[in-house]
Amino acid sequence: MRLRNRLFLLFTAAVTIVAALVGGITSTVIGNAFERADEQRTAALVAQFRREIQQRGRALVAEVDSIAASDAMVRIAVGMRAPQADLSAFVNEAAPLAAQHQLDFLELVAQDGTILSSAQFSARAGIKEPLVLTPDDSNSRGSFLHLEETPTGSTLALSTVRPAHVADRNFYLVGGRRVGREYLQSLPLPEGMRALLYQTSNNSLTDAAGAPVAPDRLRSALDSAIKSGKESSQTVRWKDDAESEETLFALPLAGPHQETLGVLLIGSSRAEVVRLKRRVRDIALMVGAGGILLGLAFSRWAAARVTRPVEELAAAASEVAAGKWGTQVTAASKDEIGQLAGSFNRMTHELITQRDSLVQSERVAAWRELARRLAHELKNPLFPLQITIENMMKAREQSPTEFDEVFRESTATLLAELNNLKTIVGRFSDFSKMPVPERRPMQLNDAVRAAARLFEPQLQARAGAPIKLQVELDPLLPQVQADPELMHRALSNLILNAIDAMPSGGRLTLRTRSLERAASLEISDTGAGLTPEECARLFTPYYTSKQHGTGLGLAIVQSVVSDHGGRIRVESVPDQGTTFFIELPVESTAETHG
Amino acid sequence: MKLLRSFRSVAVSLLLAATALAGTRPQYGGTLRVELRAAPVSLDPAEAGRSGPNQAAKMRLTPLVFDTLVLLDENNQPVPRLALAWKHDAGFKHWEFTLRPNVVFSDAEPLTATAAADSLAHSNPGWKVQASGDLVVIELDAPIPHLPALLALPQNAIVRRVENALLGTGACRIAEFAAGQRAVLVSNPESWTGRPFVDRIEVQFNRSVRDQQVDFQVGKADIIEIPSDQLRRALSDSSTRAAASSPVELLAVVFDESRSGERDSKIREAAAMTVDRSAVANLLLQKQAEPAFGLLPQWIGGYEHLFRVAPDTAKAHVTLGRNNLAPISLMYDYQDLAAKAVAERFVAGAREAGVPMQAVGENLMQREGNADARVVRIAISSTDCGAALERMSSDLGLSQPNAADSARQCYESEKALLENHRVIPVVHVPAAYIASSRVRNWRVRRDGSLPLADLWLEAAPQ
Repeated sequence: MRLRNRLFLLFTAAVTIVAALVGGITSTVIGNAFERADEQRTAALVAQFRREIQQRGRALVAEVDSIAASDAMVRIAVGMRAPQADLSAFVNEAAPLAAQHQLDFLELVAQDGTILSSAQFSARAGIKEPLVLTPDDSNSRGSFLHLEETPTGSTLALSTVRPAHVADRNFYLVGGRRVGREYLQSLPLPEGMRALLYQTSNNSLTDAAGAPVAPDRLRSALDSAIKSGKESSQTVRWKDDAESEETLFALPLAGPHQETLGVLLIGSSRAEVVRLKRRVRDIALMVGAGGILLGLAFSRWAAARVTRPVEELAAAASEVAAGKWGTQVTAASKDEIGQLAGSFNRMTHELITQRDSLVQSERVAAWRELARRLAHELKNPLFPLQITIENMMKAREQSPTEFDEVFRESTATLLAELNNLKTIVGRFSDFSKMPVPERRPMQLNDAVRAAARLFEPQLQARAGAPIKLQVELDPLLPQVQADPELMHRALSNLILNAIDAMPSGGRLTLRTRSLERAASLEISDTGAGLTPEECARLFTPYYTSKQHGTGLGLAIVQSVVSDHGGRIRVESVPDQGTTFFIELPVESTAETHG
Repeated sequence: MKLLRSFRSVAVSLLLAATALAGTRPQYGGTLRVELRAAPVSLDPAEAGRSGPNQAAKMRLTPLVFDTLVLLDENNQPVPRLALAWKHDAGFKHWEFTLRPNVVFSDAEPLTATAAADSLAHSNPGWKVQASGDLVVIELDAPIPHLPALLALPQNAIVRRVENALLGTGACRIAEFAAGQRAVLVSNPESWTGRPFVDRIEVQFNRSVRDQQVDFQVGKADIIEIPSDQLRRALSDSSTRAAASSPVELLAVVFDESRSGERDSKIREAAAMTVDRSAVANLLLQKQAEPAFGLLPQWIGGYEHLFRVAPDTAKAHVTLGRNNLAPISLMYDYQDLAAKAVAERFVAGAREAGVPMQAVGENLMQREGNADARVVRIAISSTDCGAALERMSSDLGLSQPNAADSARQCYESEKALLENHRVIPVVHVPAAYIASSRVRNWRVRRDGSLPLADLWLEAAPQ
């Protein structure tokens, strides 16, 4: 992957993570803030309801006390003082008093606890009122929740028991207001809140509209409030939608003996909070997405800005690798990249300088080697020429009679040596005039077979030092595009080298193999082998490890192979032998011929 | 001058005396307006209606139009009405009634033994009734010693049914009847008893207590009913013209027939033990009712005291045991304050014993659905205990009691009827009415019937 893409992905990932973190944290923090605000608001409202309930209790006590102090009670008390007072005359007294004082329940109770009149259940006249009979201080009891008996059953009521001393008679007034639908409707509930009432006596839960609500979903809060007698809360999701969530605060309503007779549930809809949180989340998502998009753009720009000089450096390095050593880059900045570009430029400049110096050195070395080789090659024929000429001159002076014979012999020698010089010069001329290959489809196996046939008699004719020829050909070897003439010349040079390397005989192996997209030709001998240093300089022109050689044979082989787009290498182990590997590229459409 | 002054004094005195005489002397004419809460759908005496105010209203109006063969006197002895005499065989299965001669229906058709037999056969399908000359012969499968008392029941009145008309021999005839709304009775000049003093009696049905009182106050009604909560004050106030009968109606709690299991039996028994009848009669109904321990009041049967028991909540608890019971609804006519008091006190007592009852008011005129129990108001249709029991059993849906001709037999029959506590008597209440000042000769009979034919109206001042 390109550096620019890696940097782009890195920057993008970093920006995305940061945007996600910022969005998530912001959303969470704001959501929590909304939650806290909602909780505080609800808690304040619940506290207000608690005060409201207490206020209603005090108002109820005051209302019942006002009945105790009313003229009606005086009239009743006076009527009861009459001898043989008929209690039935007071049976219907409570109802108008209750209506007048807007009470749902009112009972006039005699000192002994007998109900004289009941507004809500007139038939209870004559029955004992348990609330009065309970040994308790009614004055300190204030208001409390009570299951009030009515003809249709018992109903929850906020009740109070107040003593009344009227006209030397003691009474009790048991007054109350229904805690039910009307009570719930009268609570000052802001929008989004509602009140429900749970009655433990019949396990019923109703809302302000009187509609029944299944208490099972609120069992946790209800049970907690009923068992502990303390407030509890529970959040319920009524439907799948999160907006249907509602937090319900359970306020236990205690009876006269602190038993929990009912639970007032204040429900606060979380729809608004959920909507706000959802809106915050959406905004955070949008901001995050925008940030990510901006981050992408910035990352692209930054990656391009950072990698452009690096890419230029890489391209320049590639050009250098391709041989354009004079490539230079623009060092626009003064940062590390700029320093790197400067160093690169200095490096290429130094490289060119070094190359030129090396080329010059090598050229000098090559000329020296050439001079040495020429001197060596030319010295050998020149010395016989000099001796022959000196012999001829000596024979002319000392024995003119023998001069003719000496002259004939000497001229023959001179011609032979001159031919020898001509041959040497011809070789150098040939090397300088390597022909351009004329490529055509050919089978290396055919070239190997032809060379084997050519050299086989020579190998067999070596008396005392036979060389065994072993040919291993790959029948599936593909054709190559090559010049058969040049390939034969290269192969012949390598075979001659191998023969020279095995003066005491050995085994010469010619092997072809199919490689991936290449055909391989191996020539192995079992001679003395080469040192690594010899291997390294083996293909240098005019270098030879042999006593009599021009040092051009392997250089010509390398030149042929290189001109065919192939490559040659050598592996050698001292005292075991040497193997030359030639690999020639195979055309994709080349056919296979065994 | 002195003579002249004396003459003037005498003249004024005579004028005042004449005026006073005119107020007390019976007068013919005028329209008597009666308003009732009941809403009967028929005035046919033979049509057995549901117990309640409709039945009582019909029972008190139809004697104006239809006569029975016999009547019961103050001593519960049968006396002749349309039948002058009667006789029976030794087994009380064969009865012969001799019809009064020269009696005609309101359409001037004479009353014949055939017409009387047809009427009785219509109202008593189980009897074999035949006419023989001027005799009406009744053949019974079982002996009924108190048959004359049964024939004195209003439902055994002689009715001649012509197309859609109901014709009788009474002092009035039906001129107009709108079921549940209105009835107009006009004087029957053909009546053998003579015509009533008033020309016309208009009865408005289905009038609430409040509507009756408003109409009474503005002079649109002459006779209205008195609700239970006002009866004490009305009767004690001498300025009002309130009148009440002896206790002639029973308010009882009747459990539904479907609640016949053993557990239901225990519930009924326990509930019956908790009823504080005295509290209902003396406290809630302000002594204008009598505790009812039996179906018939003491003044009719004479044995009701034998049923008396004190409420015993503790015993009821034991009887009921520890049972989780489903709520039991006790329905009552929400317009009937006495029924409301009975229901609520019954419920209060039952709850003390652990029976979860609730009292629920219902519109008796539109009664729908079933209730676990109901407070019913049963009019006692006869002062004869045997006849009254037979009729009450029919009204309450109880099995017919054995024919009873004596107080002991009536006691035994009643005891059997009450044994399973399906019917729990609570109070007996009187029938009470109030009349305007223009109604003269105003009274309510002991049996609760209104002698409307004997009333006359004070003439309006000229």
